Amino acid sequence: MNITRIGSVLLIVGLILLMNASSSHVSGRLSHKYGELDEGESLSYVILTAPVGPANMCIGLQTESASGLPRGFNKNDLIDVPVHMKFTDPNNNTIAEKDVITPYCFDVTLNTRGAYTVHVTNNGNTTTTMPLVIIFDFHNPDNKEADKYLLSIVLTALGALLVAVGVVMKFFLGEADSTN
Amino acid sequence: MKLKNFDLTLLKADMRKVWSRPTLELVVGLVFFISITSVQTLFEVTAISADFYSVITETIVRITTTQMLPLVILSGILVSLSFARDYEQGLMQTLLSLPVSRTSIFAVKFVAVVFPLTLISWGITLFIIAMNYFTASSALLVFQLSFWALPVMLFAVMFYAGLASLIALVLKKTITSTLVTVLAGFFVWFITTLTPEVLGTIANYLVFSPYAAPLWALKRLFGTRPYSEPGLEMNLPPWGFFILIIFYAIVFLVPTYIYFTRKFEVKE
Repeated sequence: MNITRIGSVLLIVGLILLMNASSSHVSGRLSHKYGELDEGESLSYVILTAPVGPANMCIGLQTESASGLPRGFNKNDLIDVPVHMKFTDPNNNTIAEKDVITPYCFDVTLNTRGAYTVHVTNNGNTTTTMPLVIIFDFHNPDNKEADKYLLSIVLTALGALLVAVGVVMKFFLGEADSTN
Repeated sequence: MKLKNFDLTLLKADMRKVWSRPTLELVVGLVFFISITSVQTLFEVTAISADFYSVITETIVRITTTQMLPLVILSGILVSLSFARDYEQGLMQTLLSLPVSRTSIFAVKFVAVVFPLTLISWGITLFIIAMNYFTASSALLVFQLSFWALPVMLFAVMFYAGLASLIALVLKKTITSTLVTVLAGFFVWFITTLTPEVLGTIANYLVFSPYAAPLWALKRLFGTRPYSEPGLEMNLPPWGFFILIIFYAIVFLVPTYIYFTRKFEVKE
């Protein structure tokens, strides 16, 4: 296999990856809720994510119920609950740790591939659900997978370079194409 | 030793012929395109401790499932072209007149298609899985889990390549054998799409079909599909599916090999 063919394969893979990485991105509002949190109890949310950029994260942001009751009106969907929160990145470094009152929203930048963790401890005196809501801008191009996009550009550039070198070698240096 | 070198030269020549421009580029492009579009951006929120296992296994099964039909068609077309085209162009006569055994010629033609095609599809699977899930903590898991796609794809490709070589040797016409092989591949895929509403309870046994068995071997191995109702079709363990796909891999290969080495004749 000569250099032109290696280049053309890399170019094809790079272009397909570039098309995929630049078109797909996370968007909108994603809400997660797992059971109820008793007084003094803790809960951890694990976010397995690609480096998808800026987002807004809300702890204890109650969504409207199916019964039509307003937010925070269900028996166990309470707001204004004091909690202790801790947010760690995939390398287990603490990004934020503080005592807050729900709903508590903060800006994050998800720039590392891996598992981010949100630990929440109920410091109030009631049982409540503790949803985690992650909000991305609607179709924000910054919310694409940064590492995949970079890899696609590298592969495309490398493929194009190898094809160019192969063509130059073939036509100007007279190297025979041994593949066909 | 000299004979072995000659076999190797023959293999290189055949691989160069089968994978000449633009076949390799088209196969890589097609398999990569269908694989990458079957994978979504990694964004999962769970309440349990960080565990990439279920996410990675689901993705491997999804990629393998998506790749299966194109691999069926590609292996069929390439093997048909390799055998039938050589026959039509008179190259088979030249090959058989060389001081090489028929076993070597058969093995070379088979290996020249099956191994590169398997490695391309597995390499693409590994690349996509590594690209999506490779982190310092999940590196070993990525390679361990991706490895299992290799034997599954190899046996699946071997089955269709065996079927295609039998069709090519019997029909001896490039276009005819390619079309028949493609139709046979589509038929094997099509029957797995039939549901119990159409076929009744017999549809449950389609997990044992050559198309579905490799995929179920992976699903059972990874535990992505739970054992459900009573009955062998719902409870066959992974090793059972692996035995089945090994059987499928050789079921057409052995008679085709025997036919090629003992009965196959080149006629003017």
